[in-house]
Amino acid sequence: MSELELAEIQEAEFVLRPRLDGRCLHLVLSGSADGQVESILIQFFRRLHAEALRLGVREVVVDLQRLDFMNSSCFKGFIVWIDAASSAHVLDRYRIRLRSNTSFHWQVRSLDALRRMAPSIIDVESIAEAVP
Amino acid sequence: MSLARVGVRVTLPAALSVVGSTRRYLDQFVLALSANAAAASQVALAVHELFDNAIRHATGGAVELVVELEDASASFTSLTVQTLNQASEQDCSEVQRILDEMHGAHDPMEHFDREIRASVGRKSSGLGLVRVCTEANINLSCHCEKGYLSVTGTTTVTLGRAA
Repeated sequence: MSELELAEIQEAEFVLRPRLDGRCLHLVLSGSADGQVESILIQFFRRLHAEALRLGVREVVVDLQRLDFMNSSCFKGFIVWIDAASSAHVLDRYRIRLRSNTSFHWQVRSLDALRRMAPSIIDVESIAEAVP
Repeated sequence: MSLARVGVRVTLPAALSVVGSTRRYLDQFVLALSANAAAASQVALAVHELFDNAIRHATGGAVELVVELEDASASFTSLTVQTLNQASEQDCSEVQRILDEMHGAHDPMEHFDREIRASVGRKSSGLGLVRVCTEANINLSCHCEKGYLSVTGTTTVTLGRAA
């Protein structure tokens, strides 16, 4: 299998680490996704779908348990990616699992809204972990 | 703790780099006064999105931001978040249009879902105000006068036991 061609994002207040494990792609986001990182994050999500298709990924797990905030522009990055993933040919389609932390109250409604966009491919797993 | 009427009024540079630190400060400010983490989170979302919007569309170099809590009863307090900035007539009309559409929607959640789908084809997200209303449960209004736009969010929050 080819190697993952998605670079890690490491900014002062935001980190995104991608990792390929077999046919599952893991993304771990932490910090704050706001105007300081929105252009980088939007570009990342544009490449993410193409990479998932190229690698024949069956599932993308997005860990948001340490993401304390996401502004609307970064939220739109997720929306555009989910729109592309849900429009993919049925043979190319992959599942998306969003791991949320309900201690970050914004995640409850934002992630549920993403799930409603494409309920057949998205699951939201919730935990309530104390915010560090 | 009796709040009576307390708040923060600051004038900040119209720079996106100050939004995150302002949100974190006001999140902690409201948490300390209300002892209600959900309320603090509501304010954090409203502050971030309203301030972010104001900065992106401000025609002047500064934005005024107000967060205020006022006692409504022994258990509840009214909460206000407000931004004020110089703005073009076009931006004032656009904010008014977005709010009119939200207020006219029969089902706010359905409206939110429609706006999410519509954002795919837009250059900007256009979701900031609808997130404040739908996710943070904050009522929004706006006022345009003499080249200034103010956007005001209000809600009522329950005071936690430690307040």
